[in-house]
Amino acid sequence: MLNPKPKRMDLELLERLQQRDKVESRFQELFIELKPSPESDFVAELNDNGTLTVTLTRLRKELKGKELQISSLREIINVKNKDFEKLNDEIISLSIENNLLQKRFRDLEEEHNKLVKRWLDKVQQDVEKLNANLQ
Amino acid sequence: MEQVRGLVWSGAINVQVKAKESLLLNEVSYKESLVNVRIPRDTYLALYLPAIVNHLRNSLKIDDYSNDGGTYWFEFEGVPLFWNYPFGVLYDSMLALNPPSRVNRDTENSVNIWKIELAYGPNPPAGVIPLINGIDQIKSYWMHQWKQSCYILNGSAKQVMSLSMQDSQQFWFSILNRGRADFDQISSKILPKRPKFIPIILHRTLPDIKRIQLSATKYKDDGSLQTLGDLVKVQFPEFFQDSQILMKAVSNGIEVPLDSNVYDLYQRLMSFDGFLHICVCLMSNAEYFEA
Repeated sequence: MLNPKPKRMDLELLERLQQRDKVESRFQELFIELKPSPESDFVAELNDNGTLTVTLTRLRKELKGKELQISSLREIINVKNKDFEKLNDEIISLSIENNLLQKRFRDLEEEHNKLVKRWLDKVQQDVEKLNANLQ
Repeated sequence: MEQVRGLVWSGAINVQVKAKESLLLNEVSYKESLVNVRIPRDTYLALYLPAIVNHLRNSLKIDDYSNDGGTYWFEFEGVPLFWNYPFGVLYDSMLALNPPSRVNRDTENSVNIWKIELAYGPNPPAGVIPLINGIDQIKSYWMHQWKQSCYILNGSAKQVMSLSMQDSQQFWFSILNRGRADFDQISSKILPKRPKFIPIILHRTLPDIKRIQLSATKYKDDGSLQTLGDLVKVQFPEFFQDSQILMKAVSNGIEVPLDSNVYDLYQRLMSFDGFLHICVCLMSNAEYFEA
């Protein structure tokens, strides 16, 4: 391919750049044309706005502090939640143990009553036998 | 050529900068969280950072004066933007711009906007130069770029180093105040009539971000003119398959013919940092099938 001569190249680039600007400049009035401003302008503006800016700065600092406080409180809540879960588990396991012991207690009580009844019956029989012998 | 230089200098992009959600104060409305600005293509985005932050200041949690060691940077779709390249180059390369297909899609009612995000943190992402010394840091970086390009063009950085104090100030102010006449006047003291080499940076975004800095010559070893296609073919042979070319060279938002001589292009499309930035963008599917 031949190299385009500079003039032809100029025309080609010019046409493409104009086309680019047509696309990129449409509705440009909706966009702010900023000027590069060094930080010193900020300081000047800070002095101009005086109190308001100082208050805003203070409030921002406070906000930052509060956000830190919130995050540390959230951590505390998380730890407490974990403790609560642990305690809950313990309560459940203890109540299961208690239920089992209660059952065992009832069984033993029943057995004890049976034994007492048997013993009473036996004593009754012995007494009756003794009485019969005496008569 | 003058007209082309004029359009290269005056090109600008509509940008919508939105602060990241994590930076916003509670109860800030959507409208208050963004600013619509028009930024020249041939400048550093970081130069406009103070003005952008100033606009959004009342919506931000960050205190400009707290000196908490944090720094601002910009992101596009979560990818950090390196402020140390001209803004137009960032736009063309990050969007892998395909100018002809953009023109085809364009209608009388369409608006071209680049939506980017403002981020802040103690550690900027890898590759982003932290701005610790404000505008002075940008100025020294830009002068350093000129020293590099001057060295490539002339074989020494003498032309930049020997600029008078007044000239270098005027040169810098031409960037800040968008004064083309001043820029041309001072840059003509640096740019030689017969350059030794031509400073070029190739940018490729897809499939991964890659930047290659080259020193090209006007003529090839066989005496014929060096074209842009020759350079790109050496660096990215994967885009030249079986006589098919799968890429486009984009500079300043326009497609540049691959058979253009590099020095002719440099003279017309050179950036404000003394380099010719070329973005290597992939062809669209339709173009690929047409080819």
